Amino acid sequence: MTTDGSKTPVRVTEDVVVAPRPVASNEPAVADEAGAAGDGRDVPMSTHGLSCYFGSHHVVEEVSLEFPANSVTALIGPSGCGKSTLIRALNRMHEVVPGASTTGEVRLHGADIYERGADPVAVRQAIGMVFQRPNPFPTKSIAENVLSGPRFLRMKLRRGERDDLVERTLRGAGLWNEVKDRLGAPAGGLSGGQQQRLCIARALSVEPDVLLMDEPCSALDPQSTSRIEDLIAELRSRLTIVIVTHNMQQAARVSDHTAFLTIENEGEPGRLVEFGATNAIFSAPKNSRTEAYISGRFG
Amino acid sequence: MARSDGAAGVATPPGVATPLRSRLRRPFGSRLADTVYLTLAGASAAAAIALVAYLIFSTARETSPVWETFGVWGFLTGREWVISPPTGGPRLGALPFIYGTLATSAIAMAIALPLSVGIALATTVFLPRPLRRAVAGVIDVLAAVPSVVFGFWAVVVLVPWANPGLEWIAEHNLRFLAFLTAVLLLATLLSVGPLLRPLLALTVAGLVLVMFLILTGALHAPVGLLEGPVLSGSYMLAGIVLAVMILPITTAIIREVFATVPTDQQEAALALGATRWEMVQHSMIPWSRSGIVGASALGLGRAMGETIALALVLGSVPNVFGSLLGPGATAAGVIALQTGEAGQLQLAALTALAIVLFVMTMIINGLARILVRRNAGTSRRRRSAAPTDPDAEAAARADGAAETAPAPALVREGAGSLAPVAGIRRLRSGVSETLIAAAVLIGMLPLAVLLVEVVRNGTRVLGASFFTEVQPTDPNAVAGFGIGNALVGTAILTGVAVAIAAPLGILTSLCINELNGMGGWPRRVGDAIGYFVDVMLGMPSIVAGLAAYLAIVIRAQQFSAFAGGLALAIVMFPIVVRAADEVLRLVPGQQREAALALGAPRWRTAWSVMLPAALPGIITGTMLALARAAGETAPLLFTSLGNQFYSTDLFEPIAALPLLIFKFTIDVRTDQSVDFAWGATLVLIAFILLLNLMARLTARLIQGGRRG
Amino acid sequence: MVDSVKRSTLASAALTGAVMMVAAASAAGAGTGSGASFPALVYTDWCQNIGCSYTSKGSSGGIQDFIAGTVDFAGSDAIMSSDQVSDLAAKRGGVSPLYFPTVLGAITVPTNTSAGRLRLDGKVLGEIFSGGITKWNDSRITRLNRGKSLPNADITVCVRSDGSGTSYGFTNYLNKVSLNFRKKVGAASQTPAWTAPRIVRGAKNPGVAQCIKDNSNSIGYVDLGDAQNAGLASNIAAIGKYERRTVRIKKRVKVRGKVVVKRVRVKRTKLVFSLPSVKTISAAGTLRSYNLSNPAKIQRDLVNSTATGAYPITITTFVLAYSSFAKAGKSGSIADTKAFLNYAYGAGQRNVTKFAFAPLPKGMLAAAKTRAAALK
Repeated sequence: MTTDGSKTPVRVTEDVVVAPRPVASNEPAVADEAGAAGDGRDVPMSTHGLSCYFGSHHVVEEVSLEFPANSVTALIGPSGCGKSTLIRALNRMHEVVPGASTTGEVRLHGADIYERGADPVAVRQAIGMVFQRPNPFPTKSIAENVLSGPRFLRMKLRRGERDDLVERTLRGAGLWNEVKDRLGAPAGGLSGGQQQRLCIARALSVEPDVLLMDEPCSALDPQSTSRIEDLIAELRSRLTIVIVTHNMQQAARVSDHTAFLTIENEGEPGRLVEFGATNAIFSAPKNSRTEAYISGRFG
Repeated sequence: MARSDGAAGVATPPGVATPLRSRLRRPFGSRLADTVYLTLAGASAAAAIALVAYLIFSTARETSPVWETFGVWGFLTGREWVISPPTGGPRLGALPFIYGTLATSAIAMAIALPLSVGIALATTVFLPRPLRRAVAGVIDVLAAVPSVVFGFWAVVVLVPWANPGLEWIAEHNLRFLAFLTAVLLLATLLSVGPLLRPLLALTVAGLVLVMFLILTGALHAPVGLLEGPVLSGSYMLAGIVLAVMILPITTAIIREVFATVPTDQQEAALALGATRWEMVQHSMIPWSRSGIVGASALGLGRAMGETIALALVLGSVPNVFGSLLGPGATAAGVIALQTGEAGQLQLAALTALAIVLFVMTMIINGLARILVRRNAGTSRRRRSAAPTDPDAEAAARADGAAETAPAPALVREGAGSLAPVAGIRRLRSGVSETLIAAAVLIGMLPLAVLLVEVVRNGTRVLGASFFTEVQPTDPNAVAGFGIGNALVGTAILTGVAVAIAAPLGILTSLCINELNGMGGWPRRVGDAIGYFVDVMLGMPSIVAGLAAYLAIVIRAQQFSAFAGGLALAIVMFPIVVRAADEVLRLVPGQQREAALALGAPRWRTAWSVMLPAALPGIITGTMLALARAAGETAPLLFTSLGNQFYSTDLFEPIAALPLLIFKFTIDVRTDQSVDFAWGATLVLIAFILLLNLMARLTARLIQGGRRG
Repeated sequence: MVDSVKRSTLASAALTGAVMMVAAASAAGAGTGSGASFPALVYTDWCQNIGCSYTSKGSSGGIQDFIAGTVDFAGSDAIMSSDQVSDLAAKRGGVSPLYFPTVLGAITVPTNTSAGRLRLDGKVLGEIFSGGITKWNDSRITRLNRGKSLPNADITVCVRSDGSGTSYGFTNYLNKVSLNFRKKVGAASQTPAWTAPRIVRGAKNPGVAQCIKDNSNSIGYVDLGDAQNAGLASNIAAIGKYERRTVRIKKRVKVRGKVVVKRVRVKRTKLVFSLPSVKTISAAGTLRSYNLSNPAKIQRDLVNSTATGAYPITITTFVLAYSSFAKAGKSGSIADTKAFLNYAYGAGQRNVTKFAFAPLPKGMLAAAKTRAAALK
């Protein structure tokens, strides 16, 4: 936690009012500890010997990781090390790509999301995802984008509740003030940064346990990036977040834990090299390759 | 080396020696090249417009006797088509044909569109991957089957098979069935309705209502629309045949549209926990709406312009508001049947019908364009600061008002559980996937049967001499004869067509592209040219044939390969332009700007940046257009005429495969001649398929080479 | 001479496809014909031998091509209407059409009922096609078909959807034999205004044949060859006409005051039914001479011919030629037309029977040959 300074919200506004967790949620352990700084005691999600393949091509090998509750875990590593593949395997989006497959386990509250009988649809509801490029449904309105998740879940909402949910979620994503006057406008009309926050709001609308973010800022300008980083800091108190990033400073700023992956030689799969508290990794990496990467000597 | 020599010799650097002003001027040659390029591009676009204008003009000019004799309103609402009545002059009216065209097209679209969407979804999302390719491949093959084959197949295979069914319908008539149809349509509307924009949904609802009224006989009390007797030709049957015919085309287009849905849109839905069906519903269909509308318009245009098949199975009886199980006639059908033999007033009336048909397709194209524009508009606004879209807002509000169910606390059911999603979602997805599977089965069945039939019957006559000998004269003794003359003829006809259509088409698309890049009024001109091209695209091929007949055959007093090739070129031209235009649009703006920023003149940018980038798409488009032209029959009937012998003379009548198939199934029909025609069909399909394959392969090779 | 050269050229060319491509030029030189589908089998066969190309598109199509001058020669079973004649004069330098009969053929009337082959006569046919008879068990039909049970079903009438010389020939016949038909439907026409209530149209002769096969309780008219090709041979109705025939009757005669019954031969008018065949077709053309300047009369004389044993719906088909090729601006076509007619009136006449046609009657052939030689 060496980067406390930068993690403090730039300004405290109504945007950061956080929706209370629903009472009926059946993850008492997480709910009880909401707000606690995650240091690994409660671990809602973990991987056990997770390997990813595209066809016969081995992309990620035997990664075992724990993602502590209410904390941000950053996945860093050079291009091609498989970190994006790894994060997509965490909510079974990896298998959407033709020929993609995995071995090993990803446990969510102790249950393997790859076990027989586990429905990828249910998995993805519990583990939300935000992509590299903002991908709102361009023809749907801003409000409709937020509501599309609940719609999939067929939540029955009265009009008032819908408005509440939209407002709450958009506030949660720090977007409310900017869009409250044009909730009916097509989402395609928003700026890139706004679109990305809308995507985060959309992911949050179904109250996932874990939020995966695959380089969420790589397509954004610095100002939008800093807003997203603020947002991550806010969300951290009620979610488990996994973020893939290229940006070392960003990893240092937003994350509590960092996992470093790399490939040793061309054609070999990506492997986990080092995993630990972010400040530890950045101040005193144990592995020489981690050090080399962090200090910018390769990658 | 040479440069330093030069610098030493001149002593001063050229930059200093030349006055600034002349340095900013381009050499004459380069400017000339640009002028030539822009002129060429502009001229071919102008030629396209001139062509459309000329078609309208030259056909319109022929129609004056009609308006003089019957009056505009009298002709449009005339219910009779009697060429030689016992007393008085001909009584010719357009209404039966307008009605027949609309009725058959409506039936065809009602059947084909849901099936197409279903099959397209199955082959992009739902089927296992290897099956997807197989099904899509079969569909592509069938898109290549010429309409004369469908028509002939319908007459000999489908009619005997379908008529008992139609008889059953007639007996267990009607109100019941009409009710069922309406319920089915309304159910479709309810399930698809929320996906459509309000305006579209209203239009569809209105159409359903009108159909319901018609079906229940409310609009014309005396005749139930599903009343017997069931005769060998009927609207219903024609509609079914038409549906089978346009199914491959609409499916292929909708499939391509679905393929353009960006992965991130699909992943957005999946990552939110959508089922496959929900993903389709919320990300694919909204994204593809305009494409589906476009495909429907194209399918509808094709259905309205279909000639031979309909002339064969509709019964050619000009009825108005008759039973759908009774015979009728369509505009394109009567034009195809009677143009070659009509004199004076009758020819004028047929030409007037062609104009009516043309206007009908133009209106449909215009409507489709407006619908597509509305959608494109919303996605284009993504970049500009978005003004609020009142429509969408209203839709959002309406949605809100519609939800009245009591709401539990916001709780995700079974949160944290990884068990399969339950209840209604599962049911909906299951039902939808079942429906889609059913669509694949229902849609593929007649097509598969047709394909099997062609292969089974066609291979019987195949042999080496089949490809080299000329066509038989005695339909009861076809052994030892072949299709050599028709093969050569088809090659020459399509060659002429490509030679005319491909360069003109590519230049026109470049012109549209340049104009679009300029903005302001040139952009609007570009849009207008695009509209003309779309109109041509929707234009029934029979109209192209009619134009070539009036403009060339009559003038030159000679049926000729050239006239046939020109008719086919008119068919091909808009397809080439559209295909080239689409791919040129896809060339990233940066590439073009990069070239321009380097100081490349326009023509060089077009030649060495735009065209190479767009080449695979252009080749594919041209090949597909060629495949389409190779199967055309109707326009050749009164342009290239046919020839019993080998001929390579461009200015003499020439044989063609579709004409040969027509001759041995429609002109004469014996067991042997039909086998012979099946063989010719098999070769024609193989030929077209080969073109398709080559198109795809070329595209893949070029693209693959680039990627590697 | 030219013929034989061409034929030998073709014979050698037939060896390989490649050589045939070369021969194409000479083939194209022998002309292009289009029109009547009725004699199309015969014409394409003749063309195969002399190197012209014939496209069957219907008589009306042939007439239009003839007027537009888009082919070298045109075939038509129909006589051009006065409109068409004036159109021709207007477009082709004031020429008029000349008609050259080529073969005789039959229009058959197949039916599709449960009663098998029927007997019908001109009056009944006229009523059926003009809507005066709409049920198969109408007494006027059953009277001709004693012993057969005809269904109480509506008659579906199959007719042509395109303009057709076959339609012309058939309505020409009905006009001659049925006054009601003439009143309701009018004169002979390529595109008759049928008034039967339940009509389905088929494209070309095979389309009508298919229509008859597909619709039960139907009737239609098709040329003999296409009826046979469609498998309708046993459904072709026998058509009746009145003939003066010598019949033997028993007659009471007074012989020397005594009444005796005696068998005698007398001429009587009798309804005789006949089926189409080369023999019955040939029997229709018995006149000693024919006036080719009046082709309408030729067609009228052929149908319902008074000749014994003649099939009633026998027609001839014509090749159309300009009264002056030069004036018509078609000088290039005269040689091709002559070549075709020469073959038609020579070797051609011998091989028409295999396509179910009959050669021209002697009187007609002689007149036609003379006229063809005089083409200018």
